[in-house]
This record gives sequence, structure tokens and C-alpha cells, in this order.
Amino acid sequence: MSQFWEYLKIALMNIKSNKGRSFLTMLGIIIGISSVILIISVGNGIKAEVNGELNQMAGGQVAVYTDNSRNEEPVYFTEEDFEAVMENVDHVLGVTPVYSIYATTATGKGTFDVLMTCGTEGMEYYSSDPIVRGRFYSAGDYDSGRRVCIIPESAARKLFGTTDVVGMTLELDVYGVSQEFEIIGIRRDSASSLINMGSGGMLTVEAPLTVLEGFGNYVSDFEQFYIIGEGNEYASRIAQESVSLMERRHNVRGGGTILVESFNDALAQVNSILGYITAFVVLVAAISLLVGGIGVMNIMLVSVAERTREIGIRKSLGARTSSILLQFLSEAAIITLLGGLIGIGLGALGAAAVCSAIGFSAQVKLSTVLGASLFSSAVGIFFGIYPAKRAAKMSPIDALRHE
Amino acid sequence: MGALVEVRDVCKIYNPGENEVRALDHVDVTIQENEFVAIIGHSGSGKSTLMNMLGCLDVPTSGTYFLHGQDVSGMSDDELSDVRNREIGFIFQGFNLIPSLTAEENVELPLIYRRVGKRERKQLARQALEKVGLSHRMFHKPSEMSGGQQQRVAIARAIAQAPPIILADEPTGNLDSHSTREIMGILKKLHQDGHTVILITHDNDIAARAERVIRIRDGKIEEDVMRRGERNE
Ligand SMILES: Nc1ncnc2c1ncn2[C@@H]1O[C@H](COP(=O)(O)OP(=O)(O)OP(=O)(O)O)[C@@H](O)[C@H]1O
Ligand SMILES: [Mg+2]
Repeated sequence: MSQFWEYLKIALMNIKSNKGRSFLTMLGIIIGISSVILIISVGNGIKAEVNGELNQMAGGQVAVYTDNSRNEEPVYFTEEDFEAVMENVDHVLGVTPVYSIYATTATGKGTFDVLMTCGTEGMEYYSSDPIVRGRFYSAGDYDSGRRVCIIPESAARKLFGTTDVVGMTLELDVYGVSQEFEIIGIRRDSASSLINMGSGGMLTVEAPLTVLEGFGNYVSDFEQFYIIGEGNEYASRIAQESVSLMERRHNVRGGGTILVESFNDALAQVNSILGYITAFVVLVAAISLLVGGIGVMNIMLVSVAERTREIGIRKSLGARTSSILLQFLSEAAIITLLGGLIGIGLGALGAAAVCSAIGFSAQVKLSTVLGASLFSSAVGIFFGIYPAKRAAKMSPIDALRHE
Repeated sequence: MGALVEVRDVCKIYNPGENEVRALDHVDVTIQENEFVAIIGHSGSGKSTLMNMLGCLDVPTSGTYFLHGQDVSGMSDDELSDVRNREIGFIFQGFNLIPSLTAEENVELPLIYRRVGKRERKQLARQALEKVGLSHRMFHKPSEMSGGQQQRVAIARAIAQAPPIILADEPTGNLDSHSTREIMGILKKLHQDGHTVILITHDNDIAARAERVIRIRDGKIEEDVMRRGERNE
């Protein structure tokens, strides 16, 4: 073990006295390791963000939809279906279709485009952001088609300059028809960048679906609706039970007419896409590590040739074959380990830069760092074996005679 | 107890077959403990070949070599490394210091391969450098020292772990007369301290300082003279 520290010292010294050469040798390793760290850290960041987002936005959500392309008699969902789900399936908070329509509104602050999102009273749970003032519309509001709406805090500030707007009215204009709405609730702004991205930065307004009648836009048949469960853990059971319930109610069996997608599926999809990207980058990085490794082998061969006399001296003083082998192996491993550490640093910096540009936070995991360090040393050891063996096999007199 | 060095009927043949060179031709040498032997001969006579054999850097083509009663002739590379480390301190004509290491680090080398702990190693290295009068140059690199100083570092390295045999191949070949006297003085002192010193040279004046002179020609021992009384001059 005491010898090992000597080798470490010798190796560092040799690397230091050949800085330029060592750096060029490390370059392949640096590129390989930094790209792996970059993509894995960005990938982990995206995964964590998307996981968090989807959970926040749609934890326990299940979308039920019909595929009518092969049906002679198309299937549509109705309010009765939603009520049936509420009654028959456990752990359901709410059931709602989501119907979006563009509107405009004019206030003292100007004229704004608005995305009106309409559904049943179950839409209260469609977003996980809480109502911070007032209330959400009730089943009664829904049934009677009361013109009430809920807006997020940011929209309130934009429209009126304050969030203290419960009880005020908002004039919404849909395709030339204008209606007055009472603001009955304020929802907290979503922290989720995905949701904000999804609405395109537009102001959003939630209102009962039944108000659309007033705009001459009567909707009663739906190809899709959402079930919001009490939690992620119930999602798959809710999905299963809802599908068989719908199949029974619409008298279709199997055949893929009624389908579900829970957000767990979406999550799995995102993860698998990330998996493919990661695999691809790892492949590219592996090639760069291979090239880097060959570079290390080459430079070690040069180093062995240059230091033939040193090898002879060491052997004449009692160095065994294994000592020389270990000396050159540790030198190769340290070159690649240093390259790996630089690569980890650069990759982490790059990941932080990329992620801050998209607005995520990168996740550099300890396991990734350890893995990359181990792997880069392993590359050095693997490609150092041949040169180190050559050094170790030298006969002491031949090596001493070498000029 | 037997002799320290016992070479029996040793031949060393380079390029066997065509172009064969008999660098050592049926050589017998016996050296007792605490002798001061000079091996002298013309260029190409086989001095370095004999030295490599005695120093366990090379094995004979035929014959046997007993060092400290151990048969060295058939040993493996690693066994020879261990024997060299334990038994022999080398002093080469070209100093053979490792240029990237300081004087102290060079002197530590044989101790590292002997697995001496760091603290003890530093202490032994310092003592050895003190013996050759170089304790003030411990942290200098070879390139920052004169030839005579480099050779003294090499001597310190040879004696750091107190091997029974000091093997010097033309140790003064690259040095001026002043440094030569200095180096010979140190070797003499080592002999007085109980080391066995084997000195290879082509210089009669230098050989004359040893108590025994072995003259070698064309790979054969031509003359082996003991001169008592020289020791306490
Ligand atoms: N590796 C080798 N291959 C072939 N011949 C060799 C080899 N080494 C030495 N010789 C030959 O062996 C003979 C003895 O060489 P050696 O080096 O022992 O001489 P030396 O007495 O040390 O000479 P010098 O005083 O010049 O150093 C010479 O003829 C030399 O050419
Ligand atoms: Mg010679």
C-alpha cells in the first residue's frame, strides 16, 4: 500500500511535467465522460421535473376516450356516464370533460385573449392548485348554468391590478356573443412551467360547461373525459373499473372502443424517450472513450520508451515485475481518472447551463459521478495493460544500456 | 560460513550460434566478506558482463553463482529483483539517477521496493546522504548537481539499506581527479565500515587502492593478486 502512494506521486509528477501532452491525451476521455454526465444529469433533471409536473398537474388522473374509427354506431359519453363513474367507482374525486374555447375580454386594463376551460363541478380537482379566495362552482351552479367563473391570481392581477376581485364581473366575448360572468373564486397560480407553457401564456378562466349554451354552443356528447382520483396509487384501478363500466353502459365489449390513458402511462412514455436518448449518447460517448483509451495506450507506450532507463534503474534497485506494472497502470488510470474528473466537472457545468436555459434544475447524482470516475479509471487500466506489461517485461541490463 | 560470492565455472555467451561472443569464459571467483576487490581489464574484456552477473542483473549461460550461499543462477526475474534489493548496492559509471526525483527520493527507491515505511525511509535516506556529505542537497534534482555530487547521491542510494555488497562499475569514469579522490575515499570508508566493495575499473591507479586486484582479459581471469597491509594505509 505504501508503494501505491509512491506510484500515485510518480504518476502525478509525470503528468505535471508533461502537462500539454497529458491534457491532449485526456481530451477523448474528457469529451466522453462530460457528454455522458451532461446527458444523464439533464435527463435526470427532466425526469424529475416531468414527474413532479405530471404528479402535480395530473396526479391520479385518468383520461377515458373512445375510438370511433371502427364503430358503425359511434359511442359518445354523456353527463349520465360521469355520474355513473362518480357513483360506482371508488376513490374518485371528480369526473369532468374538459372543453376549451377562446374568448376575449375588455377591462380597464385593456383587451385580453382568454382561454375558457369548461367542465363539470368535478373540474375543481382537474388542477391541483388550490382555490385561495372564494369557491369553485358547485353542482347547483353547473345544473343551472350560472355564469360564474374562477380565474388564477396572475390573471386577476393582469385584468384588474389586484387579486381581490371575487364578486366582480368579467365580460367574456365568444365569437361576437358577449356575456357577463361573476368571478366567484381565485385559484393559486400554478408553479408548474409545463402548465403555464401549455396555455401559451394566455389568461385562463374556468367556468361551468353549461354556460356555453348562452353562447349558442351546446355540448352534450363527449369523446373524452377525465376522472380525477384521490391519488396516483388508485389510477390503474380507476382506469380498469371505469372502462368496464363504460363498456357495460354503452354495450360494447373489448374491441378497443373505449380506451384509457392514465398519466402514469404518459410518465412511462417520457421516461422511455429519455432512455433512448441516453442510450444513444452513451453509445457516442463509448466511442469517444474508446478513442480516448487508444490515445492513452499510445501515450503510455511513448512514456515507457522514454523512460526505459528509469525502468532499468528501478529494476536494478529491486523493483519486481509487478511493481513496474503497477506503476504504469496507475499512471494510465490516473490520467484517465483526471480526464474523467474534468469531464464530470464540465458535464455538470454544461448540464446546469442547459437546464437553467430551459428553466429546470439539473440533477447530478452521486452514483453517476462515482460510476463515471470508476469507469474512466477502468478505461485507463484496460488500455494501460499493454504498455505497462511491456515496461514490466524489460530486462534490467537492456533497459539500463538504453540511451 | 561459506564465501559471500562464489562463482564456479561461469560462461556468458552472447548471440549463441553465429557471431557468438564469449564474454565470460569459464570464470571462477570467490570473494569473502569485507574484501575490497578491484576488477580490472581492457575495454571489451568482460568486466561489465561479470559485474552484471555478480550484481544479479543477468544470469550465466552456464556455471553456477552462489551469493550468500544461495544459488542465483537459476532464479526467476522477481527472485533476482529481491536478491538485488537485499544484497547489492549498485554504483554505475553514468550515475543512473532518476532525473525527475530529488536526491532524497532517489535514495529512497531501494527502500520503497523493500517496503520500508515512510518515516523510517526518510530517516535512512537522510543518514545515507549525510554519510556522503550531501545532507544540504537532499531536495535538489540531479540536474542541479555536479557530476561528483550526483555520484555521491548514487552511493548514498547504494548504501541506504546497508547491503552487504557494494558493486561499482567505473564509478569515477566520468569524474575529474578531485571528485575521483572524494569517491574513492568514500568507498574506502565503506570498506572500513564492513561493506564488501567490488570495484570495476580500467585504471591501474584506482585498482591499486584496493586490497585485491583481479585482472580479466578476453573473458578469462588472468591474474588475482592479494595485497595485505594496504588496508590500514
Ligand atoms: N548484449 C550483448 N550482446 C552481444 N555482445 C555483447 C553484449 N554485451 C557485451 N557484449 C560483448 O561482450 C564482450 C564483453 O563486454 P563487456 O561490456 O563486459 O566489456 P567491458 O570489459 O565492460 O568493456 P568496457 O570497459 O568498454 O566497458 C565485448 O566483446 C562485448 O562486445
Ligand atoms: Mg563496461
